[in-house]
Amino acid sequence: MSAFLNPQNFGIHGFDDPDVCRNEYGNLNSCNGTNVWAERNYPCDSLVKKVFGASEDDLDDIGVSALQRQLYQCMMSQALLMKTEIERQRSTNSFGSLIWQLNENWPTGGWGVLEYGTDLPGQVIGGRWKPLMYFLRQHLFNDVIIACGDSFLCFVKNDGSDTLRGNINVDVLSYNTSESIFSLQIPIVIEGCGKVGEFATRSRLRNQIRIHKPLHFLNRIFQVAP
Amino acid sequence: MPHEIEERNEIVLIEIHDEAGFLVVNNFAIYSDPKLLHLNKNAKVKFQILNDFQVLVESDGLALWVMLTTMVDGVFSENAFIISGNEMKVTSLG
Repeated sequence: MSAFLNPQNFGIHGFDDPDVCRNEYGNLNSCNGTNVWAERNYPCDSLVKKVFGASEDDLDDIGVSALQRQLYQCMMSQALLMKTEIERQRSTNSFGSLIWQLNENWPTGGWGVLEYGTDLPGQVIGGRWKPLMYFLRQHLFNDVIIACGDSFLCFVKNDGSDTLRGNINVDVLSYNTSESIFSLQIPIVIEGCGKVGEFATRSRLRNQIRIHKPLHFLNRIFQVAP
Repeated sequence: MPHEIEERNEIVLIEIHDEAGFLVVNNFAIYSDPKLLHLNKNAKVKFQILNDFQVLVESDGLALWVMLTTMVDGVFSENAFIISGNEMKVTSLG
């Protein structure tokens, strides 16, 4: 990825002219050039290094499979880091999170959740959803959120208007074997309008859920990754 | 086992179902960056296009964040998902 962020390095574009980038907001974020990604904004290198441990060689690698890997790792890094941040925000007495900006290039380390959606070849009108957009719908921007943080502590927050009655199902899997290490089910009744419950997947707190008033802060259970 | 080591070998999948059994929301938790995870690299993910709108995804091992993309206009019902061993998942394009 750094290959196309460095104006002196054009490898990823197969001998296109190098871009000319200006430093506007603390990095070379404003670029002009003839290649298809000249209008990128924020680099993704630091995210890919942080999350996937990529080396400079990995990021400068060229070819179809290298590019696919770089794009995937860029967008998954963005999604995972944003997921951590949004979960942290929703664990607090926050009244809302707004994504800005909505759309931007696919391979960039910004906050956008849609890629640019024009009639240019390779794009889809309206813009494809980036992984983060799927995370928003599946995990993060629902009325009810559930998330786990440090020390096996988890929380449920009901920002809807209705009381939620149901069950929490927890399944802990091993990476190595894909087998379930343990499962548990916790009955839950949690009112809306910001009520928060917390529980643990381990330790003596297991199977207990405690409901707090909306003003109860839960920052302490999270360690923010980035 | 020390917590740090224990956590690195685990992924937590959590779901909330309402009284009728419908899925309200789900999420996952990992306790270290993917670069530190000891995943089974032999897991194979297979795709099968069922019809114009549905794709069947299956894996014989735990696969994290399977991402589908297409040139067709639309979005998938589920994407960037986790699929555990011997699981099948159908995602729809709508």
